[in-house]
Amino acid sequence: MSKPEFVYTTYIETSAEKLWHALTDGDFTERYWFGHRAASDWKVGSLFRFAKQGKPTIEGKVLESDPPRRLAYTWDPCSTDAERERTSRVTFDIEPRGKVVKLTVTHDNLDEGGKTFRDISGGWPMVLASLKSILETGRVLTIDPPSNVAKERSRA
Amino acid sequence: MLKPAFHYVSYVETTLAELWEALTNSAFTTRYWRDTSVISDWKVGSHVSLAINGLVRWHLQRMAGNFVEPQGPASREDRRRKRMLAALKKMGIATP
Repeated sequence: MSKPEFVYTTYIETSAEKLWHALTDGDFTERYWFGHRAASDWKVGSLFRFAKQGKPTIEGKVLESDPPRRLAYTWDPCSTDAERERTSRVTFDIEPRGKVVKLTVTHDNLDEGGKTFRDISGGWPMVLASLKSILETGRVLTIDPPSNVAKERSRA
Repeated sequence: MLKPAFHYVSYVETTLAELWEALTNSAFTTRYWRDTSVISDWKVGSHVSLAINGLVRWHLQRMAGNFVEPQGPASREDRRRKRMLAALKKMGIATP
């Protein structure tokens, strides 16, 4: 595993199959992933793309696909700022634990101090909280941008 | 921040007051925190104790954010336990 890396674990009251579907179905991701639609056939070597309102946001290639246990893909933001950064990698590990599943998201191969690392560190907690919410309650989260007070605090 | 540090961010659909209550009310913490009661008066400098099924298992001190598990020679643990119980009694919290 390469440094820096972002690792996030959460427990969701759902099945591994439903979680796999939630991660790979475009109609579903659009609902909780703040408008981002995932599209791919999820075969190893295939391309995948995230698009928001038809505009590509993230592109990559499927590296591992073992439904409903493990999914990995490369991650290239479709923005000019991050273009010079190296291609990072996202891995989802799904482990059934009785009535819940343990989801571990590992985002590695990131550039130290890069824009991608900054963006995904703030983004994954929001996406994964919304994913947990939709699977457990059927509702997604609406999250306001940070207030100025919170911004000051996080800087301190 | 001391290294290593564990940092975890989550978003919860609730209010600030309800989340604060969930973190500090021992009757509430036992429901989601594997029977653990978190006991303190939540004043800066006060002790925080974690009790499982009424037995104090962890004794946390706010300073440096580290916690101390009661262990070591029996006499030492007894002294610490006495101090802990006295502190809890002072706060008006029932002790086992």
